[in-house]
Amino acid sequence: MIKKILIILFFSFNANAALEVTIAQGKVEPTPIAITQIFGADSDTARYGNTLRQIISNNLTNSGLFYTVNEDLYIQSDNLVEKVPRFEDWKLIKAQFLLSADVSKIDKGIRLRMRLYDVFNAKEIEKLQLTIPDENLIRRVGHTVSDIVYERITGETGYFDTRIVYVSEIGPLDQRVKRLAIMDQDGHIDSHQFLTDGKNMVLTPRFAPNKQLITYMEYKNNLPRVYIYNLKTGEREIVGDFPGMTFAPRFSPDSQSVVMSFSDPNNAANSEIYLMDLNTRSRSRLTNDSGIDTSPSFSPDGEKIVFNSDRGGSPQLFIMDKNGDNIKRISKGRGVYGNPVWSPRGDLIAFTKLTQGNFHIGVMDLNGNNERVIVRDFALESPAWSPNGRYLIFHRQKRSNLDGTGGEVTIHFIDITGYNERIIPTPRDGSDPAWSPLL
Amino acid sequence: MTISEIDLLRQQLHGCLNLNVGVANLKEIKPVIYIEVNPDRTVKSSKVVNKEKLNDPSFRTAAEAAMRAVNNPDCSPLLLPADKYEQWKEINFTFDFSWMFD
Amino acid sequence: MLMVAGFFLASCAATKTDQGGDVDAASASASSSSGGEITAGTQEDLIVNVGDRVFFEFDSSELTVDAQATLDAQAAWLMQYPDTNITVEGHADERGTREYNLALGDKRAFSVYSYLAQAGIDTNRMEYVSWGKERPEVIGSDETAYSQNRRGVTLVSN
Repeated sequence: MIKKILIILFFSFNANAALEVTIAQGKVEPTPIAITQIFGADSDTARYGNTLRQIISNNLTNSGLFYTVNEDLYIQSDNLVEKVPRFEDWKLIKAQFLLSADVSKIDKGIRLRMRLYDVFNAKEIEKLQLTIPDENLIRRVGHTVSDIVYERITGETGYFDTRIVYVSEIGPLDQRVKRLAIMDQDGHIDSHQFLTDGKNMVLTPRFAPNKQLITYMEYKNNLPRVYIYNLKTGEREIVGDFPGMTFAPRFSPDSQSVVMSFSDPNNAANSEIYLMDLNTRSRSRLTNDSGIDTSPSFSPDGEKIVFNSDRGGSPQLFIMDKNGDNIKRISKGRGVYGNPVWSPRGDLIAFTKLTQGNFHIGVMDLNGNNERVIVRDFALESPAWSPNGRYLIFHRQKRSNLDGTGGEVTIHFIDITGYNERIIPTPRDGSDPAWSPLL
Repeated sequence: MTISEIDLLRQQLHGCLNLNVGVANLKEIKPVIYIEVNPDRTVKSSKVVNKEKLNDPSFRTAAEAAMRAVNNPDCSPLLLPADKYEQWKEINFTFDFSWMFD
Repeated sequence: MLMVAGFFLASCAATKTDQGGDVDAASASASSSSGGEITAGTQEDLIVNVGDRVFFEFDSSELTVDAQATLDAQAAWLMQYPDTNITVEGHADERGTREYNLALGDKRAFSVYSYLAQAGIDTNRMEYVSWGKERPEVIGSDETAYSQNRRGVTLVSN
């Protein structure tokens, strides 16, 4: 795709000066990268090499910014870790970048060496050597190498060495069994793990910035309350042990507090936003209004909170200070807004909007300006940011029918430009995805 | 050179500039690439003019993409009028990425 | 949980007699009762002779005139069976976010709960819980289903 814009062109007829030309258009399409075989001297290291190559190739392709040039076209088949590539050979097949690597066994584990080349500029642009103490870490190493390549070429932070926590769903739509589950960002089955057994319904898991904890809502003994799951110990602990429903939890950026909704029976079960300090277990009330206040999400600097409220009639988006002061409505468009999530870069709010019979997932500036729809369908929910603020994941549910069919729900990935949507595979249906920070 | 001759060159370069969208602060980043051109219209040498900014990773990313565009085999030889070598033996290309935000 | 599912199916039969999809539900309900005799003071009694549920307008937790009439009857029934405890469930249709609907479901459940309390039912006999949009009564992505799912349901819990 070539974007059309007005061209401003400067040039000079002075014979002694260089011709001046401004280039103000280009192609926004995946950049071709060649990835050589990742060489290993024996069957184990060759197998690690294959796995690594597959992980790196999938990650880069899935980002939408790269595609891997078909191996059959490669002219040079050497290990290019120590040997300088014949750049002309790679130029001929139009690979703009070239990655080569090898794996070998050493005393302390497995050694990986990698080289990244800029083919058209004929130079090495990145090199890496690392020791992998345990073969169980191969997938993580594949993600880490992908991050290094992505960061070197795009200039922005990677996101591959991350995990997604979500709700795995199975069963009839009126009796769904919902379990917490976690997997690598690519959804690879080898990385997939259930965290709860499905006995109690669980909803809306979210990662702590410290990567160790997940906060979520669980119906234990039919009491819907906010809990924390410790990924290291597997322990579950109630944090919203209030005399009424607690829900919609999210961590503060320092992982020391959880902001959530509480429906107080002494307040007509109207949902207000509370902050719970995890160290002191003291709670403070942030909102006080006769409307529903829910879905709070902190700004990355911890100073402000965006949330969902129907205080003006229909559900809209508002921003307040972290202590509840200075509440301002930001959503401006028509429709019913929900699910606001502050981007990790701090500059955008992702949200859902229901209008004209469809859900939309979009982004807007902090003052509500420049609202932009990214994806639209019958039922979309739970936008969550990639840690580099460049992608969103969300879930999409199909219409259901009176006979119980339909209603399938799947997790999707999309570039915030609206391009490159794809499904993140899960063994069963999946909803409420949330992204970990970079590990 | 005529406007249509410059247009032809520009169009050619558009097809050779492949940039991964989303690089931070691209609006302000305008790498300038100086090239010397052989009489056969192939690129003899190329360099970043405003290289003092190469320490900024976003600028470096954009400048490298611009360098790849002028050295892209799809843009060789450059589409230039053979009889006007004196006018195009040196070219400064200014790459403006503000289009990506439209 | 199976008990709850059974009650759902039974109540389904009681409230939607005009719909084709109820054949299975009706038979499930019949098989769950013993010999067709309704025992006084049970969930089945409440469903058949009083009405176990009220319905809400879109995005509202206010009790309609119809709903109030049903709850007056429920209150009288609860007075009649003073050993009966209940849980009120609040539910929402699927056209809202999960979290907003949890909040809405809680307000609906509380509307029913507090109406019954004002009608003289001891709050020690009552609990309430929101299920948001997680437990639809009727599966389907249309207004027919939605209007049945925006509900407050009174469940006998002992």
